[in-house]
Amino acid sequence: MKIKNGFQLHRIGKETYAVAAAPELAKLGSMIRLNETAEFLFRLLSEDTTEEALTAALLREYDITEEAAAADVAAFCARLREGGFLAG
Amino acid sequence: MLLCRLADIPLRLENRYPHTELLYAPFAGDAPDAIPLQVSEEEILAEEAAGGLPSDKTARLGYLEALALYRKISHLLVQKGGFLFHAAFFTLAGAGIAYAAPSGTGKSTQAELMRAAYPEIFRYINGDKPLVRRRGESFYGYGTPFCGKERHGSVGSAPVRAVCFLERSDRDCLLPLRAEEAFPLLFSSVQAPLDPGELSALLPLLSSFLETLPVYRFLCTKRPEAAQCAYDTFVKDGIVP
Repeated sequence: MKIKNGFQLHRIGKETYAVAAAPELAKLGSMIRLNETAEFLFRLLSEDTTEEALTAALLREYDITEEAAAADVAAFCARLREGGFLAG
Repeated sequence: MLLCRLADIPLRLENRYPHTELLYAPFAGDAPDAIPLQVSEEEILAEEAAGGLPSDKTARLGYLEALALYRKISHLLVQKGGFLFHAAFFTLAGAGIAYAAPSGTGKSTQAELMRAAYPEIFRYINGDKPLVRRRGESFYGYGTPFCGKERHGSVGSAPVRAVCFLERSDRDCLLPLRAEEAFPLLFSSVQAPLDPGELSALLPLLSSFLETLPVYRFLCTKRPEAAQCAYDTFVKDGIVP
């Protein structure tokens, strides 16, 4: 799975937004707000990957338990899937 | 053909229908180095969904052409440091105030309440869709041919001094918004970009707009007190003298 092409990340103040650049993506909702972890995962999803690989990357980057990492990844991917932002 | 200036951009409109010139005539004038603009029949007919069209066929096509040209101008404007803003834009003693919200929330109602409360210092620049453009360190809002069905507007411009995002409420108050909180509200109030290149130019512009200006969440009723509340806040915060 990976993020559909056509998003641009934009940082303003302490927030980062993924903004749909392509009109067909804008129909899904023009932007999503990303916290630090979500932005980290979003960038990794620019390439085809799996939830297991994302969990492993999160564990390398942050001091959290495997359980917490897996839960964060699952929740984030579910949110993206529900919004129609994921391809594959 | 008509030479005109919108948001300080010189334009040469290559129109097909005379009614287009009627709409843009107040903005006509010398336009050295004018940018030529025209729209296709397809682009004209794509504006058919717009309301408030004249019944006469030629006038209707002219109106649609004028709309299609305005849309094209708004996209061109992004590359020149500006954007089309879906907001009621007026001045209070020369200070430009923008009231933004989804259609039907009450932008026009609140602008009219302000006009009724402070008629000596109130002036409309554009009651519906002003063009906004950066000039030096400031942003200016501009009058254009498209200013809402009430036709509240003027040929002119004013510096933007505050932006309010309106929400209907049972109380009246203005709450400061941080730029990052206001960003999605602003993005949904501007002309959607056509392509990634335009989006890349638009995003930092919108950030700069929000980071430069006082921004508020305006919880408002339909009572005259809403205007008083907003005015008092603008004076307290040094926006209006």
